[in-house]
Amino acid sequence: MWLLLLFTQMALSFDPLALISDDTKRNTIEKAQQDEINRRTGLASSDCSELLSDLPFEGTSKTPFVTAFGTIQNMMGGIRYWDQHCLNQLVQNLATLNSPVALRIAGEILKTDYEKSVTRNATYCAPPTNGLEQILGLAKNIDRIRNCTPLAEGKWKTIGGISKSGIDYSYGLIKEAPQKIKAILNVQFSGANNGVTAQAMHARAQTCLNSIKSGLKGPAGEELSISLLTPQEVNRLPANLRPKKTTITIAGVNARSHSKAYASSIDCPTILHEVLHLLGLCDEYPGEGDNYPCRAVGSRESVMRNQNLTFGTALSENLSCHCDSEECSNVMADPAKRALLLMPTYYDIIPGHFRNRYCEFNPTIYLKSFSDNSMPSRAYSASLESEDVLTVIANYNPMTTHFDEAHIICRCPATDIDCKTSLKEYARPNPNLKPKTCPSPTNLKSSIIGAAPVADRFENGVLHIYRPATKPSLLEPRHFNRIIAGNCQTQTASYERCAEFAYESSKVACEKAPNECLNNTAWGQ
Amino acid sequence: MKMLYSLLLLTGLANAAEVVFSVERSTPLGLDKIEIKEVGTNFEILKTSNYFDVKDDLRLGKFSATEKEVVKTIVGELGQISTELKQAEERLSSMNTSFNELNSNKNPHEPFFKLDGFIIKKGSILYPRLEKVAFKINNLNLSLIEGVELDRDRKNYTFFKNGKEVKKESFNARFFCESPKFPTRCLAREWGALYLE
Repeated sequence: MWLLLLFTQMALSFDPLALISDDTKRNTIEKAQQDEINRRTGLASSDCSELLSDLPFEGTSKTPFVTAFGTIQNMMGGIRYWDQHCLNQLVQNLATLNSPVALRIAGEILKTDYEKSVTRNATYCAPPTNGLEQILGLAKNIDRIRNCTPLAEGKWKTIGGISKSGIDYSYGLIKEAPQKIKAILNVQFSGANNGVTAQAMHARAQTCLNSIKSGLKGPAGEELSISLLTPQEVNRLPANLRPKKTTITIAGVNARSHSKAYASSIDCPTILHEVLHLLGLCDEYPGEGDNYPCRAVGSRESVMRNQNLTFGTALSENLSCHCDSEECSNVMADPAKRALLLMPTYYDIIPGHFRNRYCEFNPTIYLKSFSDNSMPSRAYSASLESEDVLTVIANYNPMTTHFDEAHIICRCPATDIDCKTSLKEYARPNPNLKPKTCPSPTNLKSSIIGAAPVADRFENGVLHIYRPATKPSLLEPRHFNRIIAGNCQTQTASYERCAEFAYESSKVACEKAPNECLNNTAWGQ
Repeated sequence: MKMLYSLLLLTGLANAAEVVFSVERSTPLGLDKIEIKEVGTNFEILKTSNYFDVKDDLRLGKFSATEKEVVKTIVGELGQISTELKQAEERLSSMNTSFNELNSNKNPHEPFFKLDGFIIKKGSILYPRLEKVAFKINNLNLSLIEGVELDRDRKNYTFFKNGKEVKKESFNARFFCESPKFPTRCLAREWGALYLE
């Protein structure tokens, strides 16, 4: 009996409201908490830090959401429709508290989820048997019909849910023209760091997405653009067309380790990668090191695997490179030295992760003189000594009288087939390859992505380099199709078949992964 | 009474088990991680990146902590949190779910904590407590046992084994880093990556 009383006391002690004996005071606080929960329900937000933030308590003080047992129970009617991720988080936190009341509430929330899934399954699976049931069935299936009907020109729809990989997505799609589709996201940037404000980050992200429009193509040449609307802009849309808000904070130097936010120095390839997560796509880089052993790996140039490489191949770019020194200007004025600048060298050809793993850099960088008639004809020459050894001589960084010559040797372990395949590729690089960035000693002045082809030239002290795209789109066909298919389960099934296991750690779950996902043939590694 | 027994049993188990705790961040470029692990009567700290550092440190690899008492306190706190996690897991398993199953992948590259196999993400009521523990780990005085150190003038990588220098390698930013200009991320052979400003 005493033990029972002790446990009851323990349970109540988590809810500070239950410890207030003054009825009037308790009712006032409870009313304030209920009003706040009603306000949050009205937001239709998927931001758990907003939905589950502390609730009002006495005066200006607050109480953790998870401990407001009484209020949660009273408001369950609204809370049960909150974002599923947030409900899961609430259940997790309730179960962490050592309280039977908390556990009962957790059970109620989980039951809600079960009921929702039963209703959902009924919508898709119940076979209609007579005319009336067929009509009812049609009414029940209206969501599926809406989700799977191709979008007509000038029309739009909102898409939202949780992908099988657990990624939460909410966006709008507008068909602007037969081949033009716009995706709309509701994004609120917050905070500031290193002088980068929320507004500046919003502008940077949108500028990035605008600049790569030409590279966001579907398999039939469809053009996809992505618009990041602010919550204020979204609120001007009809209520049923509003995507849910996503809050992105800007990481501070000291807080970066704890933030889910964009780093203040985030680049355009990473912005695109992150935005594509918001459109429901999962990661495709090898997951073994991260304890995701059954993640399907995408091709080397997939934006969900290596966004920097994707940008380098799927976007044409006009680089304007200028000089900061007289030495550099002298180099630029010499056609032979300029020619050397335009040739790709080792860091354009052999990726960094490969260099780090398999290659050694001879610490001596030889200063070669132009005056002894040793003008190099190539910036990169490689020789395959055997199937597992590659030697490279790189000539770069031309100055008035000298240039740098570096020697690199790459060795593959005898059993590493992938490494040996790459060595062959680096021994005979694509002759059309261009430098990825402005070559030393020049500096990048501007870069125009997706610009029309122009000849490489030196004009008014600026070196213009045109880098053509070698890949048709930043998106693999499966990415584009997944984004457009949205909530249509029949159309997303082939993508979700592998995506489902992208963040799976348990052996039991991984055993269910299809072979083509496990052996990385599904997504074209 | 049965419940009380199982609570005591769980606490006892947690104390006997070896604690493994890490803070991690998974990105397409690699895994940033600091891990503390009980190995017999010792504690080993593994760093694959300086991403989470609160003080300037250009060393990566396996470390030992010189302040044994502080480490014991840290491990004690982790043991307590681990017990709470195991109890939560028991409660959740009675409802046919699990702690990790309820985690969300909403922000795939967000840092998270891992304690004895449980993944604790931002939003968990245990997260702020683990943040404090991670801060203490970050402030430990560490001695490099095996790994790499980039010297202050960024000229050389020095490699260590059994606490002793075994090799030096010239640090060439063009060769090891994503960009020749700072700030950038530079790979450090098998030991991970350094974010250099």
